[in-house]
Amino acid sequence: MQTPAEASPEKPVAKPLPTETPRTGFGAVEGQAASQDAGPMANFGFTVAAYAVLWVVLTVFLLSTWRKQLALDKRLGTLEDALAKGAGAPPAPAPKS
Amino acid sequence: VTTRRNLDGRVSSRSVSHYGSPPMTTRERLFPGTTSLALGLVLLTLYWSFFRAPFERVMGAAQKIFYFHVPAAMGLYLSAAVCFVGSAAYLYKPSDARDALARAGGDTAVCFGMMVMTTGPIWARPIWGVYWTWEPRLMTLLLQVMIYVAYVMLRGFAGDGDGERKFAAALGVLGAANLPIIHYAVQFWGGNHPRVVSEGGGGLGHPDMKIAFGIGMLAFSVLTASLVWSRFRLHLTASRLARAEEDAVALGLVAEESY
Repeated sequence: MQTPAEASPEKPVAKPLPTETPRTGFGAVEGQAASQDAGPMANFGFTVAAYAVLWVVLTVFLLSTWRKQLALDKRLGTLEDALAKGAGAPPAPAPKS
Repeated sequence: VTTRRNLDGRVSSRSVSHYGSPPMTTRERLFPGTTSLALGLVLLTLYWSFFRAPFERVMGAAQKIFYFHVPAAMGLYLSAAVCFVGSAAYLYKPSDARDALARAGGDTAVCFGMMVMTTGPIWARPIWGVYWTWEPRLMTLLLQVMIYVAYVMLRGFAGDGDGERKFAAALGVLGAANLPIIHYAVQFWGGNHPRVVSEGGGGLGHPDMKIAFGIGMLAFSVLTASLVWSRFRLHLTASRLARAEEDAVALGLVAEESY
């Protein structure tokens, strides 16, 4: 009888993270030759994705704040008009106890 | 309309004034200027990091995420500090302004937290080979962001009574306790997270890298101030609106169910 592991021998296994020492400094590539190498640009897609996400988060936050502020100001304006019109009217009767 | 009430809560007299839309003060005129300055500096950071700062010799283009990732984390710290100050001040002496300040800090902390928690894994993927790993700094930061998400959800959905405000303020104060733990997590427990500009780090090896990073930190400091100010204004307006609605209903000017 097959064990579950034998039944699916190609099941993907998570790769362990490299246990190298964490980086403690960033150094620039040296000279023109290095910058012309394809290496530095290899991960450019990740960089663009990160910047895009950042701008999307910022834009959504700013737009939501702006829209909410506009809605609140509009409601306040409506209410202020109602309050200003009613200011001359006699006070509301006290609730019966 | 300003309403005077008797001790039993009945309306006794009123006079017309503004609740939430006073003429723009000098302080409020600073807001568009600060926001424009923040966005200008963010664009300058973008230019300097992409066109002036050289590629890093090991990470290549992926390292350029650093110029926004770390400043966004600093924005998270600043926002969390604002939330802490507002919350502590509210617990000491409750007021709408203090509650609005705490809420503004919490909202902005979530915004910057989202930036850090998305740019970080995108940077980690090409360098570490995985988007996420359970290492100390990442875990403590995730916990911090979840605390502020909880804070925002609590203030957004649990009502706006005094009890809810105080409960949220306590969360805002206690949530800040995790901030130094995030900062020192790498030194206490190790892990793969780089430590370039913190204690024990070797720093940035090129002057243009330092300038790009410096502009980024400045840009996100101004941006934090601008976002906190905008949310503070928003929450303060909401509080004023709520007070005005209560008075309008008490005066019988509007039906209770209309607001």
